[in-house]
Amino acid sequence: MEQMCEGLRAREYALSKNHSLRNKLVDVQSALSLINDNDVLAIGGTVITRDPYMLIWNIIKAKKRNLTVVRTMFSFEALLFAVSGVAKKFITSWMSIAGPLGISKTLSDVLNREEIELEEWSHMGILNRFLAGSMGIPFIPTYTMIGSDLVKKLPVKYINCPFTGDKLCLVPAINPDVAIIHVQRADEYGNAEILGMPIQDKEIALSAKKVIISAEEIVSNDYIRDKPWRTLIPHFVVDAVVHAPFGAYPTECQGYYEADIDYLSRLATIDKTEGEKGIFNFINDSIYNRDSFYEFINSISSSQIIKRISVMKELMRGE
Amino acid sequence: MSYTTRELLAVLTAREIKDGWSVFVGIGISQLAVELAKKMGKRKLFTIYEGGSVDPELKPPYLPYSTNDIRVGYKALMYPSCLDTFIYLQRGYVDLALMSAAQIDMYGNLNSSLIKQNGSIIKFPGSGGANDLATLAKMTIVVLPLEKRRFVKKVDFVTSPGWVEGGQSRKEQGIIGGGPYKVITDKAIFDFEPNTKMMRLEGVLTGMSLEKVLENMEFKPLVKESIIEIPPPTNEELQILRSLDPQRVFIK
Repeated sequence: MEQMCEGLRAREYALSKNHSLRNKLVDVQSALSLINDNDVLAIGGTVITRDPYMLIWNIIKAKKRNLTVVRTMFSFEALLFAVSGVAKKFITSWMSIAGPLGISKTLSDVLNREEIELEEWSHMGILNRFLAGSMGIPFIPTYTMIGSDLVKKLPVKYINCPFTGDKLCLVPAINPDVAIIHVQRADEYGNAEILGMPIQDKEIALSAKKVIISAEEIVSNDYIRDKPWRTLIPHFVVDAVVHAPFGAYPTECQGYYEADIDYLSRLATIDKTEGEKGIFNFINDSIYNRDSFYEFINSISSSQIIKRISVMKELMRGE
Repeated sequence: MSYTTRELLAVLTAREIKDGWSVFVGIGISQLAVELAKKMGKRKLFTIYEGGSVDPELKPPYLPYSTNDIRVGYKALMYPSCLDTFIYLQRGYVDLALMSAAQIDMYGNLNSSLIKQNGSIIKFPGSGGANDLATLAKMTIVVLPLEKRRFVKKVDFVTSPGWVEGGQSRKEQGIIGGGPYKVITDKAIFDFEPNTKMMRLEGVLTGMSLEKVLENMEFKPLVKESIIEIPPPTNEELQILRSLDPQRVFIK
């Protein structure tokens, strides 16, 4: 069989898609049908910024299985994916519940028992993988990770620069099956605005074969055309758009609300004191035993939510 | 005024940062150290955070939870993508990266990936940008408490290469960044001897003996001919530091 690099396979897939301007606004169940068991799933945002938790919550609830989950830096969702049985492998550079809350002991135990595989890159290493994937080329040469033990278990190659002889590290492209990305605003075609920190979502969207966007607000196509400089993800790479107010809660969505650190702190306490069983009960209470993500959101006190909105207003001026 | 270990580390680090440097920082002690340096009059230096923020202001009491949330975004100059912050490093625009680690050896090689303990391995889930900073910055300063379990003969895992095996070995490996410049601890400050690249005692905190410093290290560092005495934090330094972290999130 002829070998084809991942980027060209992703290109073939893109060429076969319908690129038209058309309505892709769907309910969350339809969007989730784009994700199959055993898929490589990429998550947008990073740590506690724009974690697409509404989509993640529904993936856990739908009991998707054996996903290889890629995120440049994970927050609490890695712990939930591990304990709920969604993930068989993580590809990342970092996993913590949030900075000062530290590393999850339960997740460390699971990883140390090697029940779930961990492929660890440097942050720049994994970002370069998405960049290569987004460009449709097989690898990116970089000077990072050279001389480190990190590369010993990683599928990287060293070459000498064909022009100068410099030593370079080649990191392979990644082209995930599906990317899930939470944005502030999108139209029904999938043109998506990201306010605040862009993280790496432009490249993550472009590297993935299929893209699901969740958005705080669905805006008109005219609204997008009024301020095209704010569009970061174009409609033609997007397969489904889901309207998801508070869709990143309890992580932050810049311009709307900051992270609910109290909620994440409670999770960190359960993690420390009750371990895997406690986390499983947490998943039961907040996901399996609830009918919808919005039943979960309604369980958060409104004063908590108002507090997060007002801190965001104070720190992100002009939005 | 009495002070905590973390306050001491932040103050000593702030003193070592030179005005005008571009400094790649994380949250916690390193952010507080840079912000303290700014407040102490070093107005020309600026910060870069890997989550994607250039020179934000710290707005107490909103201390950040990560390098990418809005709390490191207040009054920033720019929100680059995460990759762009590393491109600034690779491209040569970062003078100093502040780092920490679970283990360090005499050549400044750092481990923030795993610890070998009684025959088993305890993995930390990821080291983030640590390797990239150590590999690509013009120089690095490593900040960590002086403890025997941290200052080891051989690190369990080289997450972030320092001077590798000393001498020219770092350059020979093809690592382009300038390497470790200083190591700041709660008892002493070290630099690296220019030829051998071995860690070298440069100064000790007032009232601290050389014996006490060596007791807390598994390897024996070189010792400079004239060791300087490092004055403890002043009241002014501590007051400013505490005003930056009024709820003592990072300096407890």
